[in-house]
Amino acid sequence: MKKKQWYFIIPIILFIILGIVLWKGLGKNTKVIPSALLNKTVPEFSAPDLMTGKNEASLAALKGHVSLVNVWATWCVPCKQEHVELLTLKQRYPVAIYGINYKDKTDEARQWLKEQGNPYTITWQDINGKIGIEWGVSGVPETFLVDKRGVIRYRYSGPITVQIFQQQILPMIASLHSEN
Amino acid sequence: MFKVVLSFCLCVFAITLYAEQVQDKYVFETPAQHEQFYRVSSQLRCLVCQNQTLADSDSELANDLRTEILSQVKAGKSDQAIFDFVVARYGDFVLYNPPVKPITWVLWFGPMGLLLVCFVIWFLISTQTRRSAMKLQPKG
Repeated sequence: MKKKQWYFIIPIILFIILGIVLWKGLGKNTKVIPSALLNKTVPEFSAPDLMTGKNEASLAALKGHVSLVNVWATWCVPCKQEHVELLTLKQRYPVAIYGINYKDKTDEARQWLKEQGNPYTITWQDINGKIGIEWGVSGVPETFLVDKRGVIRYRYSGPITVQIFQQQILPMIASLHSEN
Repeated sequence: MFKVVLSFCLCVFAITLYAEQVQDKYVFETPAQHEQFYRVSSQLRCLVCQNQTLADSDSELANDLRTEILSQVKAGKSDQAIFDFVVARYGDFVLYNPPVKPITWVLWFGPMGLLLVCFVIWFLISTQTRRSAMKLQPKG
């Protein structure tokens, strides 16, 4: 092959690269965007607990242990099944679960937890959605993994199941536990 | 027949008089605020209806973010400060003009870059063709 004929190969290689890049993008769920809060400290706010009515500060509650923060609401259909999964997780694994009750009716939410069980150590009430905005919440449910220093390390969009927890979150918790 | 069509058109027109722009329900203190509010919210993407701006979308999240933007506009925050606020919580994807960072270089420079590469190759190939064609011409 003549030296100058090498140039013909370049567009073919570029085309193959482009093809691979676009192919990889085909299966992606474009609705879910990555969390902007990864490796940042949790938003600091103080809001009343759904069950006790007492104001609780976010960072103070979340520091010192590894926790899950779950954004949920009674109007959110997938949250209902997720609730069962969360109760199971709470039983099986030593992980603290906190809730943010997002844009919900207080009475209905309280009733729901009383009747169905309460996996949450604290449930912050977010009546107008402002707490959700601080967390970058764009859909319900969403669950955040928070480390001992109160830094957000992972965000899962959609309802959590025990299986997803075991496969994706449990390995991370193990390494977070061993951090200082 | 003509009268039927005309009356139909007039009815449709009459209905459009009731159409509200989403931001007509907001109250501003100055025209500058109104302008800033519309300018900022139309440069931000709605994350629920991702093909709409925050100005156009009627989703609940868009409503909540507009309320937040409105209070920041009224508090005298600059456009950039409001963009920074939303980006800090939702990431660069909310901006219709993503910043030029290494990770977005492909987005900004990719198309022109590819075009340039193709042009260079075309040029090199065509000079090669010209040179071999010239060699075939008899000297003289």
